[in-house]
Amino acid sequence: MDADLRAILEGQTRTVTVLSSLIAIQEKLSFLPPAAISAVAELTDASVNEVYSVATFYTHFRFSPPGEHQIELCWGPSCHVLLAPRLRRIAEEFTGMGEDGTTSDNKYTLRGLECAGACALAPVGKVDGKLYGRMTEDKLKQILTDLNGRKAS
Amino acid sequence: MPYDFRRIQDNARAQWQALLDPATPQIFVGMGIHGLAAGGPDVIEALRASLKRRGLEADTRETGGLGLDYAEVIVSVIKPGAPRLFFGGVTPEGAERLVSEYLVNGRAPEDLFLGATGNPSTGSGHSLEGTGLPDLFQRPELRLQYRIITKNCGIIDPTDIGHYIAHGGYGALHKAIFEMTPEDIVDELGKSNLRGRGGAAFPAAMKFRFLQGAPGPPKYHLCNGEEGDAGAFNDKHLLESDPHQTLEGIILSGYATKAGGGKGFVFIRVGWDLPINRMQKAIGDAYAAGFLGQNIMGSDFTFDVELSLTGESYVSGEETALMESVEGKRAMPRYKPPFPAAYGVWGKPSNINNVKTYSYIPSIVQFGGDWFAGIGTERSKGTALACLSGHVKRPGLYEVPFGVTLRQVIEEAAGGVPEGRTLKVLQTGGPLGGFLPASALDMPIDFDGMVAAGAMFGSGGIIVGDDTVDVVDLTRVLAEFNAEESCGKCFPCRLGTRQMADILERLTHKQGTERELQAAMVIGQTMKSSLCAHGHLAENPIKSGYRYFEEEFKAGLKAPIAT
Repeated sequence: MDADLRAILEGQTRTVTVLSSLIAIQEKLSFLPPAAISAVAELTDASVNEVYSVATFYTHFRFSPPGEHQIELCWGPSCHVLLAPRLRRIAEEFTGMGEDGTTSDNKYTLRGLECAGACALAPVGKVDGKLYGRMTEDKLKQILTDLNGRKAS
Repeated sequence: MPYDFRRIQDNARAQWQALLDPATPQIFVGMGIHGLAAGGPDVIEALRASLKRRGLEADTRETGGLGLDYAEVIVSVIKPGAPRLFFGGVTPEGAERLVSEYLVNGRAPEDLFLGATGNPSTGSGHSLEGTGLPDLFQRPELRLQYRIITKNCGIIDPTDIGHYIAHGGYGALHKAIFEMTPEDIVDELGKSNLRGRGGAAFPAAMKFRFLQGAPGPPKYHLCNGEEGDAGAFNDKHLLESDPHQTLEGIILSGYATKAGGGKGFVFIRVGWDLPINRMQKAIGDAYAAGFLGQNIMGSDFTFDVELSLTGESYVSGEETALMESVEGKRAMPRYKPPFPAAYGVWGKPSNINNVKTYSYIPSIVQFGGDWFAGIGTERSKGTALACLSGHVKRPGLYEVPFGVTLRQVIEEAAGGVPEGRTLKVLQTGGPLGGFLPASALDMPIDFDGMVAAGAMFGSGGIIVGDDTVDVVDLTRVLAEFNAEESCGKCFPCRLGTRQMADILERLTHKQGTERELQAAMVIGQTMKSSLCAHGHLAENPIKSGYRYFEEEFKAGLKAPIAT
């Protein structure tokens, strides 16, 4: 087993399960490399299939590194009635992507959130981990522009 | 030395009093998830920078949310000799003004001022009498409230166990262990008629009796803080604002169900960092204080609690799916029976309750089941934690007695829809809940009446929609949520939720057919053969939407229906 993965897996402080192990790895590496699956299987005495089935079930796990900047916008009902779709269009135009994913230059990852949990300040967005409530079209454009100096339209 | 809880309480109260009557100003910054989204960290930084620049001494600490989420970032300040003043809508510029205008010059910025608290007779600081300052709790958002489980939220520092103890915390645990039998506690719960707050409203005492009679150790308590419900944030609010209350509820439940030697798991979704960090801190502090682990409070009762994380999955909020998730597997529901009290997590007897349900238990033990049963309606006892969002002036968290009407909460407390618009629709109970029309505003909030109307109170989300809301489009969003989140185990739900979402997608583009619309209305019947509530309830949005807004759905058809 890869020494880094071993250190992460053996450093867990809570009850160790397949899920807890996958969460621990993604927390450190921000994605699950192929070696993670077999390492977790080895540690938890599960089959590779079992580990992979858990990893593909929970939507926050990813199997490739995220882009340099992460743009996450909530599409839940509270945000939806407060015009979240308009924010989504801005982010799609900015990244040139029509759906969730990472740009080919690995610069941006776009992701829809089902609920960011701050519904009373909808619409909500998260850029590079920072949570923004009462997002407006202008505010989002400004934040995106600040990411690389390129103006968002 | 024998265990002396009285001394611990006295110390905590003295420390809290010192905070209310401080030598240097005490500043609290609202840092629940709404405070965070409103820029709380920037405000804290601005406050500290401003104090430092002026060479002023003051302590700055975080609180959770007061529930006036629209007014975040909320900052409260206690100056030496003064009551506690609350300010809302504080930005980094506002923080600078709080320092320069209030701390330095003694003039509270009026445009930010929300109200003050202070009542020496209840031990809450310097009196408001003669100050001319309005009482925070007389604001319209707070006047209507009956704060049982949110009473400390936004008031105390959730990372300081002493603050919780100073407000009566862990007193119920002490009373239970030394003055009550497990049977006594479950009897009080029975008298209280407390019903589960996760959505199903099952009588808590009955669940507790099942577990009490089950063999052990080990027996497990799972506190469900998954809260994937879009539009609901009350579990997160409690966990991040007053984690010890929930924790005390879990420990009490362990005692009441004879689960000594067993364990509780607090289950929170990965990514909810504030609830995770604050609960983790609370658990550690409770161990250090002797409220968890071996021989709790010097008694022979032993109980452990651990934090557990779930991956993102809405269905893992379902109790049997939650057990699968605790075991580290896919969050897919199990067959019932056997029920969790007989065969739960790792095959051992278990109880699963929502964060809110556990949070009520300390108060019920402290004040009695009859007290709790005196609040609310005939069949829905206690309080409702309504999470208001959408087109409403003052979105936030409102803890009101059951039986208060939707109109009272939405219009009186939360100010109604913004000027120039009219209220058209309410979406309640999360993505598996339903719609209500404006004419339902006078309906009392309760578990049963709202279900009969095709919606439900569920775990408390209420999304207010004004006359700009396209109900078909909003139904599509809910259907899409339900399709994305179907775990895939039962095919009626796996296929049915997807079919519904697809049909609604076509309806929103005026491409639906009459046959499809009819199909969408009956798919729900088939989905009722699924194992869990996800399949059982996924028809609610379209059913209730069609019931109240039929014309809008028909307008989504390609050709008009011949009548």
